[in-house]
Amino acid sequence: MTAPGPTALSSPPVPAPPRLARTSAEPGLPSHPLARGALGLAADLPGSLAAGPLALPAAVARHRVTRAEFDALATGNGRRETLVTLRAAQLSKRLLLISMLTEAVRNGPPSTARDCVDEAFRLLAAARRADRPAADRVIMHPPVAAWALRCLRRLRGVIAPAEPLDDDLGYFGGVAAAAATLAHLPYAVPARTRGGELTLPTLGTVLAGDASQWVMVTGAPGGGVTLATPTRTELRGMSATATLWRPAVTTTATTAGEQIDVVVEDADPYRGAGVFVPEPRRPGVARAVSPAAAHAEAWRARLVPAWRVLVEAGDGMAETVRAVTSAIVPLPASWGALASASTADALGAAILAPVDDPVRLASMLVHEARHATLATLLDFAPFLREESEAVYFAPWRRDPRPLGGLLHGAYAFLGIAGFWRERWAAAAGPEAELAAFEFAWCRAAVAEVLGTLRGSGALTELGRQFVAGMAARLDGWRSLTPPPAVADAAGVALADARVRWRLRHARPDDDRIAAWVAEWRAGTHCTQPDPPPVTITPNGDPGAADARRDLARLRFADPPGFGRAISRPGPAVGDPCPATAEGGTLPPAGGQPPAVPTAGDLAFVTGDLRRAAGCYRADLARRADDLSAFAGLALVRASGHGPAARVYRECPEALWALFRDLARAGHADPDEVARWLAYSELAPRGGDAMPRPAAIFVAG
Amino acid sequence: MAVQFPRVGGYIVRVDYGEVHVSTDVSAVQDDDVGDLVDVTGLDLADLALFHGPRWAAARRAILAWVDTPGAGACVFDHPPPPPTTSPPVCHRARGWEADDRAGAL
Repeated sequence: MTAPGPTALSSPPVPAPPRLARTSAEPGLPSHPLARGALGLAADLPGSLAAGPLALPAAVARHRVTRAEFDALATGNGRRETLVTLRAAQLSKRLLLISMLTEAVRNGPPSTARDCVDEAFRLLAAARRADRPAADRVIMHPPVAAWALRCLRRLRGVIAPAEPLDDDLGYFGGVAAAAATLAHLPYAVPARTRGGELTLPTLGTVLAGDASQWVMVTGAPGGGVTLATPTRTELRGMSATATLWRPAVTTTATTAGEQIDVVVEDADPYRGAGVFVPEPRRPGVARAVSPAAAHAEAWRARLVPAWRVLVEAGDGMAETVRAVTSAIVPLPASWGALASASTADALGAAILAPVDDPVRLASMLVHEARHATLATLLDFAPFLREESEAVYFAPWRRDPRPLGGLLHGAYAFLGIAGFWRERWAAAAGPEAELAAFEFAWCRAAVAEVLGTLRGSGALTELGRQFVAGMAARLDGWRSLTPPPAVADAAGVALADARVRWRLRHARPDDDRIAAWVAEWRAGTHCTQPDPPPVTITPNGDPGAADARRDLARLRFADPPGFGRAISRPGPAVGDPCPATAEGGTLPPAGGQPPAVPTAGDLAFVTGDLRRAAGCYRADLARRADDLSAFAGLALVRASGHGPAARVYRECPEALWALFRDLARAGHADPDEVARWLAYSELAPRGGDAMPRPAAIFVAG
Repeated sequence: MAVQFPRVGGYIVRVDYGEVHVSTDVSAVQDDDVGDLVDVTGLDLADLALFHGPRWAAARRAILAWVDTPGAGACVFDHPPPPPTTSPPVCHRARGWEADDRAGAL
């Protein structure tokens, strides 16, 4: 016994049941008399319990998808029946997790927590017998999976959080109580409040003071939930008159007969699922009884138009989102206004910022649904051989990504490309231009990453086939030609991301750079001008926000705002390229601080490349480590012709490293350094041409 | 290089009538269908804790491989790690904070 509790919890600890067999001696029956009577275990016990150890049924079914379903998932969004199969596979995983957690606790020393887990497991099993869909709805609630994983990880020593283990294990009582309530079973089960709150997943939250403590939860069909604490017994929840009960918010949206129901989960302690850490409730502050109606209405107001967008977009996107999204978890404000996330540890949860733009929210839902779909499919068969430590460029990330991340990102953005493709087809005017830009960017980004995946040699045969299916989807869009300005803008945005990534993470050979520096200082020719070998060394510095990227998108997302951003007063006389921003701040993107465009950025996006290059050179003269300025200069120079352009194009990271080393010792000009490398006898040759910015941006 | 990343699919349960396949060899798939994830949805939950034997143990080991990769879910989905102003995230391998550069995140 680890803590004083209600009378029932103070009874002598129940002996641990035999590991694999239970006999009529009832060593594992609930310790609480209410529980024993309420469950009617004599009738509820399956025959197998009395029969002793079980062997896995020889003919146990397996979750499988047909080849046609597999192909459909690779090339599209999957069929309704396929998504049902995927969801069932997740249920199997969670049932296994919960049973393994229970066994692990049962094998531990006697404790209140062990009693709780043991009784909660029995109650949950009984609830499944009484009403399987109802109980499974609770089991499939995303935070329940996150909770089970966390508990097992603690028990296996994988993680060691500071919170008491009892706080985690005691959550099981609420899970079982919720399932029993939905299954209309009478019950009594121990549970533990966290910070005074007891969560009944999918149902709501009960407030029971401020402390974490063991309680006995009882319920009856049609009645409320009663919490017995060491000092009092009180009707707390599931009642219109209960003042300390906050029901879970379920939001519904319907369009053209298509309906989606999601729980807006903002109270469950495991809703962060490792993605974020929920703020603990402050003692004395009754978050649990804060007005839920207004919260629900706010999310309903967001979801309804977003759902309409998804249904109207077609292509199975709404069906996919509905099949794999059962909860929306609001993100903390610190993540920014337009962020979203999801995790394999809590599939079914779309972790979202409160986005008011229905098109953006719809695209986020598609994005997370694609992640969830692929994660589930990967439970059926691996697509990668043993993950290596190699990391690669992913256009949607600043940091180097492993192949698993690339695969997930590509699948998600392929879905997003399809979303914008449908928007582009249906929209007109500026809205169509924005959709075309997003589509073009996604298509190009995914194509690049699919090439990386195919060239990695790490795909399994099924993985190769899946990637081939994704590529076929791209090929189907080959005939779609966005307006030239839009396509070029997307191409430059991608090139910008690529060169920034190289500057940030590609480390040229130190010896070669040192040799170059020595030759430069000696005033000789460069004797080894070929690009030096590089190693990818992840740079943890997040760097500044990318103003050029934000401006590129702002141009299509908010043309008037773009016009304002580029029409600031001109630079001060005598300084054509002031260090301070000319364009003010841009709208924040994805949680970063607002981007601040420089004079060079504004010149770049308006097509004044001569001025842009001059400004970037001036920026670099002031601060040689200005990555964004060097990337901008590289984009401008690489779009030109001649040997120096090839240096910028082929080995910008080496050029930048040499330039910075020289700048530390005194004046250095990047163009001069590039020419020095380019016009040596063995100047770099070949390489892919970068898009030409001059053809991309129109003058504002 | 310091980057560590869990094997994608490392937690896969692929049970072919009790025999777990963790191989990535496609030959493990006997026909055109894909997948060997054991379907326990129709079984009694209480029974799951009572199964025994090497085959079942192998299936459980595969689940534990998933359990033993904390943070894999958050990382594998290619989302940005949390901003530095919050508590340290589970996803320790991620470095720094960045905006999600996706097309839909202007």
